[in-house]
Amino acid sequence: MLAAIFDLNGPQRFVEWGWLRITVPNLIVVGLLVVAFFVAVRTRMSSR
Amino acid sequence: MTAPSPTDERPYDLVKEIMFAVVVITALAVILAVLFGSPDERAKTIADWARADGIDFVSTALAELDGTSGTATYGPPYNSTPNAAQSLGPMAPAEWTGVGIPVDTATDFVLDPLSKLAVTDPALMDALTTYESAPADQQSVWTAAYGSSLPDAQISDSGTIEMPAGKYGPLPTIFTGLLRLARSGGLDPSLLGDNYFPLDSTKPLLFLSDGEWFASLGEGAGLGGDQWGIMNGVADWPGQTWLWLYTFWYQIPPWSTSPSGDLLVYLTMLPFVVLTAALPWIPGVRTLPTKLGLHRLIWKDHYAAQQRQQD
Amino acid sequence: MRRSWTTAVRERIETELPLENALPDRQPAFVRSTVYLFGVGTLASLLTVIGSGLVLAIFGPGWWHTTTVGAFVNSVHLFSVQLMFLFLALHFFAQLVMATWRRGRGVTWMIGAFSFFAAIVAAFTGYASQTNFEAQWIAVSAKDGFNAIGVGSLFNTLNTGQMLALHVAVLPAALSLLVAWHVVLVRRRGVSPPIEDGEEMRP
Repeated sequence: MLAAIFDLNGPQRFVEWGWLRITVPNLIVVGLLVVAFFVAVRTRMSSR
Repeated sequence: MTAPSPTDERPYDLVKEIMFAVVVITALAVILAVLFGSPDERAKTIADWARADGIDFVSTALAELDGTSGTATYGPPYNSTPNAAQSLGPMAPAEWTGVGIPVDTATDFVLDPLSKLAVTDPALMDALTTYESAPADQQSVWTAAYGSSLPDAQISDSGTIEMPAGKYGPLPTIFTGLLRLARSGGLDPSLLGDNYFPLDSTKPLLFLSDGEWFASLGEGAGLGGDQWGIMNGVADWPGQTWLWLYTFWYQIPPWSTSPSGDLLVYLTMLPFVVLTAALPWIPGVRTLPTKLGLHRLIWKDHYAAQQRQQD
Repeated sequence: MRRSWTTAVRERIETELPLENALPDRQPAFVRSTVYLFGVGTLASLLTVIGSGLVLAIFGPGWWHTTTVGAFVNSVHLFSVQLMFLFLALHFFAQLVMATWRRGRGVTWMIGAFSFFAAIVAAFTGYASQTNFEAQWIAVSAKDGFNAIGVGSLFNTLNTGQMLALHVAVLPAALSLLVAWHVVLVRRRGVSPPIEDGEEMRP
């Protein structure tokens, strides 16, 4: 078994805006959340 | 083909849907695991601490001995230090439930572990006896003197603490003994007590958390409470984004500045918890989400079919 | 003759949740929106969490620290949890904007909320029982909050044995029970219909 392809160890990367401080991976997760909801609201499942 | 009506039904395969979902989600989790792995930084031991920052270790051990450390002055559930429990007015839940996990820092973190080592070291045994049999005010004189000189001390390669000249009584022997025990790895198991199966890490973790070294590791990793740390993952892994609201309060006063900040945060979160669970029964609030109008997008086809039927 | 409890339970189930409702093969046409996948996404993620968690439990809490296979399974467990909370948040928000507690579905909503809280506690005990630096940090940091509200003696984050036992036995049982109850209630009442003009948002 190989080690992970991307090594996420290392200094924590974050974004700061006033009192808001969010790590980059958390920001990505929140972004995925917003995109997923936006897409889901506008799409329909095909008949199965 | 006739236009769909609002009462139409469609075929739906529930079992297939859940099987499909499990396969897709498992595949996604496996792919993400292969791509990114997961963090696993080795746990820190007292030995690590004593080797990395001996002065901080000894300073903390001194505070445990003279009862001034964070744990020693914590109050319930570890001890009954007066006015230490977090409170809001008359509300002090920690006081109400009392000392459920008694910890005597001087005995548990310093004197007891050393007494085991002292069996093989007569000088250490003498030093311990001298300290323990001295009156309290004499002990305080020694610990105060030792504490004020400690910032200027050096630690030799062999683990001896080289202090500036002073009247420290038996403390140099005691703390050199403790430092050597810690650095050898012998203090960690001592702190886990006499239980053959050491599944409870309360004492070593309390000791570790009283020092600057452990705190600096967490803060350095961006995991501190005032760094939105509760929500953060380790390094570049995703963290616990679902704790965003709980974490938020710790960033702003008065929650961030109050000595009862934790209690305040929990009390602040309580109405949100109740609101979430009881939302359907709260008039006014329960009508707010639909004002966003997102349901019109979700049920667009249904409303269109309904409109067609009415026309 | 005194009424049989078994008969009573069976008849109750047959009335409240006949198999056609428990395992339907037709649904209203409006259930085409993709948002209706969020619930099953959450459920499927929970199953992956439990599956990967079972593997970690079978081999013991030290295994994943010392083997690459174990580390991989731990990573699957981590990302299953991330996916579960992602779908949970989406599912929660979708139900919120569709006001799906209407027409007798208030308890369904409430059990869903309790499931969310149980999931948070389950995740917390997981983080606290990792037996690595992150677990040490989380346990030490979290203890102050629990101590402050007076439950610190009962729920000792620094007691690794307790945290692990809660995480592996108590919380999965509680969470599974709540989620099962939630799903039964959804099937019992059926999917919430679209909001009618002027409809009240009461349960």
